Amino acid sequence: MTIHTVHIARSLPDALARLDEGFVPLAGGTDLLPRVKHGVLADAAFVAIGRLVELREIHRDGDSLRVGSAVTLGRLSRSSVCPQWLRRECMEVATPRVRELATLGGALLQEGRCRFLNRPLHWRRSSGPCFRTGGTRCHAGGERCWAQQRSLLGTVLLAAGASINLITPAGAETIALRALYPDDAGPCRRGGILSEILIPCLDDDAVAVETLRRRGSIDFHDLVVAGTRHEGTRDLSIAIGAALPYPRRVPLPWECSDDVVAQSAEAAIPAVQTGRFEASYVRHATAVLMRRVTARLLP
Amino acid sequence: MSTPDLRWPWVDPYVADLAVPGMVYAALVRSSLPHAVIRAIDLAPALATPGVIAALDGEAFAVRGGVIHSSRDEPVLARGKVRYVGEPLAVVVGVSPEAAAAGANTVKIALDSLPPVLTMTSAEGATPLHENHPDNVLRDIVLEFGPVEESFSRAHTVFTGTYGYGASTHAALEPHGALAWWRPERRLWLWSSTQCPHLVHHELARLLALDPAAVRVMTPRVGGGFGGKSEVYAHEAVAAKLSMMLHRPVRIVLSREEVFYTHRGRHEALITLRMAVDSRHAILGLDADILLNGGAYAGMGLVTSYYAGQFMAVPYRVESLRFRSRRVFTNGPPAGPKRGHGSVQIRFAVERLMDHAALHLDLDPVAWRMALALEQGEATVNGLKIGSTGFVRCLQEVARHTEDIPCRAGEAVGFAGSAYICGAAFPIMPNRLPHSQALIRADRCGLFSLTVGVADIGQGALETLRVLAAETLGQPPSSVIVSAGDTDACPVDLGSYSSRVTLMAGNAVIAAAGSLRRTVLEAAARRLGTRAEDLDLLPGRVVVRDEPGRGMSLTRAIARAEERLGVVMAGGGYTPRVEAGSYPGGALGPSPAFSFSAAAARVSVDRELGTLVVHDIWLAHDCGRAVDLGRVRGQLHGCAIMALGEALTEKSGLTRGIMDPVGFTEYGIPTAADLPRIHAVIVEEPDPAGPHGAKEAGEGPLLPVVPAIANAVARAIGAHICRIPLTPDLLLGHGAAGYPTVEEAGG
Ligand SMILES: Cc1cc2nc3c(=O)[nH]c(=O)nc-3n(C[C@H](O)[C@H](O)[C@H](O)COP(=O)(O)OP(=O)(O)OC[C@H]3O[C@@H](n4cnc5c(N)ncnc54)[C@H](O)[C@@H]3O)c2cc1C
Repeated sequence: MTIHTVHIARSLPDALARLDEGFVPLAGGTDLLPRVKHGVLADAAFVAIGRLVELREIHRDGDSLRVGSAVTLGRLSRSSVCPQWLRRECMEVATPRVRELATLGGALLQEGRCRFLNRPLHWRRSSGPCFRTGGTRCHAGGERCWAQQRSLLGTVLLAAGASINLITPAGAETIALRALYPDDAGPCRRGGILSEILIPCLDDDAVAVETLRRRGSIDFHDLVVAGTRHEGTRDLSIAIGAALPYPRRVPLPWECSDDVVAQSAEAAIPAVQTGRFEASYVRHATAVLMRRVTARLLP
Repeated sequence: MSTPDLRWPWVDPYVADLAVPGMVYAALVRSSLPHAVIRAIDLAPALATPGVIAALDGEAFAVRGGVIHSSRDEPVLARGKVRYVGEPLAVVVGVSPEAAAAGANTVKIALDSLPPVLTMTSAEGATPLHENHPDNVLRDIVLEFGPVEESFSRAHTVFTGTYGYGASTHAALEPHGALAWWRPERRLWLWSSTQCPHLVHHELARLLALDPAAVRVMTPRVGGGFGGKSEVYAHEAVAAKLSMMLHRPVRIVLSREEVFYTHRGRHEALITLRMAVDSRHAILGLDADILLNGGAYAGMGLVTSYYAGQFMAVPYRVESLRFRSRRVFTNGPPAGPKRGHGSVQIRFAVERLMDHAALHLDLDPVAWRMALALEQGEATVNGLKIGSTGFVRCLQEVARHTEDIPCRAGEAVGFAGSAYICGAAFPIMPNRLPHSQALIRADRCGLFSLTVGVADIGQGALETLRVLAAETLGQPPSSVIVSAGDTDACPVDLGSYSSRVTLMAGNAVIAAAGSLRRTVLEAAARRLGTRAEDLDLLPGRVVVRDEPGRGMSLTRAIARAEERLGVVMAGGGYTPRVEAGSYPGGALGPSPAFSFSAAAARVSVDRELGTLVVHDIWLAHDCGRAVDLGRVRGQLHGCAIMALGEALTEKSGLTRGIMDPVGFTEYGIPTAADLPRIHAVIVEEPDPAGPHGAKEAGEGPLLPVVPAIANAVARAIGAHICRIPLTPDLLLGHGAAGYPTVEEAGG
């Protein structure tokens, strides 16, 4: 593992100036550094933003929670202003040690994962290059890279309708989190620094999350289905994550048959799977979890 | 040159902590193809790399390695051919680990790819890995005991099942490492993270064409082994060779990825088992066809091949037995011994089929196992003699603890039983010499200094030996100081494998301590004007048995003995007195004693998702006499957790011909968050062959846990469970690609 340059940002403008020079933001490093260690990300220069006080605040603002992007998941899980459901989901990520380093911003922006990519150097060299590493093929059988972002919180916050503040040299803007997660797995909206995440403070019983994960700790989730119910409307917001390139919202009517749920799962889950399971099982499991989420949310 | 202070700043260092003046670092270059002819290896670019001082390829080693002399097939560094991804091809030495790694990266390797053999079911008849095994079978073993055909013809019911057991690895926390130092006096010192310093000592001498007297092997602290550090590896041999070449100390520590390539883990197995049962539910016959995936080299695979069949019947009374066992070569890292070596896979098959039969015959699974249990003094049809057994008590314990457990829909309790050896009666390097030796010296200050050749790999073997010595001497354990881990300074012990240390080294320690005790008592008796037989050795004192007021302090007694003898010391050795079977392979299986275990597991299954939760594991184990209750309990917990991983989440295999996984993020060791409640029950049934009755606790308790979980799942969902690990997709019938079709049929 060789890291050539790490610049510790003194201020947001300082960090932005470095981004202009091609530096990559480094928050907790739990996603970035393993990639450097495995040689997936080589020769990058980093700008460390984790210590910027502007990015480390948590406060309630009316019906929203505003969380600085550099707030760690450990801290968020202990925050008294954070809704119960979000504290609980933070505790579901990774391990206690990783949660003390991993930031919420990094959790939403973590790279897609693939069982052919997130491997040590000798392993990857032996298996040959793929689209992501200078090759012309996908070992998982795709016609392009199908690495899948396994973000639990990305999926949950997508269902909850969160938004984010992005700061670029051109200024700051607030956009829906959805904008980070394109449906077609094409390049997503990036650039700049994610400064803050704005999260609707939903009631605990208005949020349901069901997951598939091999072990109770360390493992990335194989599948996440999150749902929220918005007061006063008959809308359920369902998002699926971990088994597709980015978390994705799926339309689901308030009342629907098992067949409709199964079709919806079938449509959402790509045939190319880069995790532990084959698509047939993931689709089956998605339908099961969707039914469970909706059952929990329906009055 | 004086001996460096290796103990500072670490009180108890691992190999990676050791540093000696002038030390340089080695890095291995590994194959990136599973099967290929080596056309050329160009070390020149590495030698031109700044900081690199030497490089070698396979031509530097004339002989092949392998701890079993009849199946030595593994070059230290590949020669002519590579046979798995990750196989060491060359080694580069640098003045820093970074320089060595940079140099290793530049070595140019030209390989001509050969068709790889990637599954065990396709191995026979595929491109041979080794010229002398054209069918890719290490040895086709067929053994038959008792009237098999006649037994099956008399059967009331014949049950058949085919079972797949996935490969897994040891996952010891400390990676393998070695530090070699060719000394000015032309002797080789090697520190290694090994379970078997004695094997390393002799095998290294052979590989390097050295007189064994010129080799000294030392084991610093070893951070776990579980069987994975039982053989002699490339890193040990290359460090030694390079140190001899360079006249400098050479250290090498494997990365986690390299440890996964080194492997020697649990053999993947496919077993077809037939069981003949008569109308009174006695087992008339067991007949197994066993296929083992051995990976690229033999290693200890011959032992595995025999163990896979030899332990099929024990702990049950079975009239006849037959097995065919074939360990095939495939282009993956070599499989080898892992906790419960050789018998875990067949136990899974037998216990699964028995449970299936019990359901079919409407028998209570525990009561049936009790009715079939071998008794003390009996022998299995293949000649394994049972000196003591607490098997029925183990079954009673798990039955008692589970009798009032309510089970909801999708929930069930499953049971299984097992037995395991307490050391192999015959050594890997055939000879009639003692398997373990011990030396003990009494010091005039009242301390006893015990020296053994045992490798403590974290299991606390030395503590157990300390207690046995103290018990023999009638003194508190704190008065015994144990030294080990240096073949120059310590007598021989064959190694920490086959659950042999407590029984074999323990017996040697008792022999030595018993002899020392007599010496001290004799010296005291002279002084007290009495006979040694009339004296007792109590903590700190020697007393006349019938006159407790009369005696002397222990320190005085030792001083009197020193006056007479110059030094007060004694030695002891242990050689098993067990007969081998009079058939080929009859030396593989017999043991001085057998431990017994029974397990129950309570599981609930999510039938929609195929996921399952193991809520409780009850594990009762007959360890003979428990020398140290805490350590035995610790082993039971460790076995239960390792078995849980094998049953549910741990799996090693090949992806694109490469070992997969190769890191701890992916490899599924159960975490603290996954653990069930583990109820460890220690059953003490002392064995006459054991030291103060002790048997073993390190491996045997693993055996029944995997089938107990599988049996519980089968009962919970009313389905055939024929494969391990029980992943959710397989449980629901998805994603069986690459798996053999397996089935069970009754009646
Ligand atoms: C062992 C392990 C287990 C894990 N298990 C889970 C799991 O179960 N579920 C789950 O959802 N996740 C899991 N994760 C992922 C974890 O949540 C992420 O690694 C972590 O949240 C990333 O945060 P970080 O601060 O370390 O990001 P970094 O590694 O520092 O950065 C991640 C990415 O985000 C970019 N970035 C970070 N902050 C900003 C910002 N403010 N503005 C712009 N770009 C930014 C970086 O440039 C980089 O591309 C696991 C990780 C590990 C190591």
